[in-house]
Amino acid sequence: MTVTTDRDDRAGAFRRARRRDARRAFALAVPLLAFLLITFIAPIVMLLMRGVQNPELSRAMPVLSASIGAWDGTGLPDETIAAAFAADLPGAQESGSLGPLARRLNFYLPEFRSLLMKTARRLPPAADDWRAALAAIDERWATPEPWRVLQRAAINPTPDYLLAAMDAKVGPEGGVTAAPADESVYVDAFGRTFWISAVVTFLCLVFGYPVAWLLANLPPKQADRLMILVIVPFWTSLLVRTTAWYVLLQPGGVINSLLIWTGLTTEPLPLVFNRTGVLIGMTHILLPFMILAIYSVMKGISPTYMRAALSLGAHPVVAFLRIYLPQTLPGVGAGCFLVFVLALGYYITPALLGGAGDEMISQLIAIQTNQQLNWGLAGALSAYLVLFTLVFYFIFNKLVGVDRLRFG
Amino acid sequence: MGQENPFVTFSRVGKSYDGRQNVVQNLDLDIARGEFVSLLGPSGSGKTTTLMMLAGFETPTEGEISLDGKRLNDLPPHKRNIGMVFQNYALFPHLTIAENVAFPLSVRGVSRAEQKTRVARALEMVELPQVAGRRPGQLSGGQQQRVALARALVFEPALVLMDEPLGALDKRLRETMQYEIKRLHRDLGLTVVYVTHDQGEALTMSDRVAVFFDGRIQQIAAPDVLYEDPQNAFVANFIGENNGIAGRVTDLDGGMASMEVGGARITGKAGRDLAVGAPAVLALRPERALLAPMAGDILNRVTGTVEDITYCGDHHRVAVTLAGDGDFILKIPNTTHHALPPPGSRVEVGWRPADCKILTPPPAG
Repeated sequence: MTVTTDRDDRAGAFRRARRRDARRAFALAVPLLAFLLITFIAPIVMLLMRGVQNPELSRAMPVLSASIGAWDGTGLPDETIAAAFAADLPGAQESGSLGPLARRLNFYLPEFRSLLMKTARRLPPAADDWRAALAAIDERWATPEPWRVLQRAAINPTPDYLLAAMDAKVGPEGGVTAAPADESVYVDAFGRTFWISAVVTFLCLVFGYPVAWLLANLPPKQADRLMILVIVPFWTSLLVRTTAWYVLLQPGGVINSLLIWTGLTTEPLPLVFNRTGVLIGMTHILLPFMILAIYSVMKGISPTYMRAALSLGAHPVVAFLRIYLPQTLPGVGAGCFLVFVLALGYYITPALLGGAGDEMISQLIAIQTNQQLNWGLAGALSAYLVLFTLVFYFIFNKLVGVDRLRFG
Repeated sequence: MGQENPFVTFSRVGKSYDGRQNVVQNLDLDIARGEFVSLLGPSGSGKTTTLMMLAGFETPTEGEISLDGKRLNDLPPHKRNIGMVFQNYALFPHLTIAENVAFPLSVRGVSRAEQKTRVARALEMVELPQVAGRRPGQLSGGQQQRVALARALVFEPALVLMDEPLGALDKRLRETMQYEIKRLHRDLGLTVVYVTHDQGEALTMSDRVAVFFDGRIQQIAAPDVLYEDPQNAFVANFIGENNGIAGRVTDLDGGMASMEVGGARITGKAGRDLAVGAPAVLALRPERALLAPMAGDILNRVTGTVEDITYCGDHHRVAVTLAGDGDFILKIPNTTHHALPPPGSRVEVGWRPADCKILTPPPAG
């Protein structure tokens, strides 16, 4: 019996010691966790939440938002709904919630703000037939369109932002329909973002692989010098490098002057404010990530493998393709993943070096956030970007394994 | 041995990495078909460089290397048809064992069916048929080296090079693998060039051993010749243990020489380039010296003081300080029942002239 008790005591003491260690480790990480929670995780969650939140109508017009759901969406809503609208309007104006509502409704239907403000200004204190009275203020109230918008706005949480971010909306019949062609920009923008990211990743791989090979195989002294050339741009500010390309690539810039001076071209080449500029700038900025990811794997490959392959009768090209290259694939996978995911969120470089048709999705999110103040749509677009990034992350993890990601 | 019909020939081969210092100089070496030759020497002696030149990973700066009458100098490594076994095995980690062994066959365009039978036969030969589907990382060091052997032999190369193949294995496994390599050499009639810094390995496995030092072959001979009849002081000191007492040559007479050590006169077989009055060193194995020898043909006798006695199981190691001249080691077999002299006592040490050699000292530095 005593033996068992002893053993139990020992196990208990061990567990207590483990718990104490775990608590201490956690306590050390608490400040960082709190910082991350407040400055990073919470804002992201809040922004993503905005992609589905729709509180403006229920806040400004509680009676209307409770009753408009009963309307079947055909013809005009009945008198009680019109009366609810008329009853809620003065209150909304007084409480100051009419402004946010007008902005919100304007995203559904341009001109809705002016319609709402005009109606609020001219609303009679009482009427027998509110539908007629509203139609007298503006004939648009005699059409189902503004009422449908109000009905959509009453739904909280709403799928409308998420639909809009995919160039779709809920049509008059209640089904999802495509947005009109002149408003459809986001699917194209996502496609463009993926395409630019893929091309940049490919270019980084093509340029980075030989450099990584040199870094891993040159004599140490030369490799150190080459490494400095890779690392210094890596440490330099993104904005500085982008502006440098801006200067270098413009029609009267260094590169075009050089090309004309050498006679390779007579006219300046359009190298900036178009796709070329975006690709040059992004490839240059993301190249170190690719080089370092591949280099870290190549560094671990012993030169004996190549020697062994040669001694076994393989031509150097065959030995490279069959023995060396497969061993570098984890680095290639890690580098491609890193560059692709970073490129997906690129904003400053395409904004400065790109032209009209080169907006990436981050730029559109920024426009919605800063200029249009449509934070709901910005949240929905961000949600898709996060989702797609996670999809790529899982594909990468399946193919290569995240633990392969390392530097140096 | 291979002089009349050499298979591998190095003639006046030199190699320099910086254009000033030669890591290998003026190397002449002939290897016969079916011979097992070891290149033995301390690190930096040029043995590995010699092997790498033969494999084609280093180019000689002068001289010529030929294999079976064909000049090798300008032939790239992959066209030399030489099998090579590396110290760290160099099995391709992303391929299975079977794919590793099949690699030299597949780059030679051997059909898949034949690859399969030959890989199976090669793995059978190293007694590892069961690991074909595994990856190198799942095998022990000894198993990996067996696979590396199978891979180097599966394409029936003209010559097999081994670069310290057992260096990474522990002692027991090393001995098993030595036996294994010898068996393959014998059964398959291989020609093997084997680089090692382990003299025991070189002596037990080789037909001939080339002792490298300072970029030159100091002596190339069968193991017993190397041990019994070292050509110079470096070989005498490097192979086995040696009592290298220094002295001066007093007399040269035919094949014999005499030297003076602390007042005593020692006679032995004469080495090359001796001159009366010039400095000389003794080459004498510790097991050939006797304590308190009886009269007879034991002509060389020196007295000294016993410093220390170490028990080594099958023998005792007795350290003696000779009259003013350095340490002297004797190995006394553990068969005699009479007691050894206690440390501090004066003893007489003696040996036969035929058991020792008098050599010129190694160059300074």
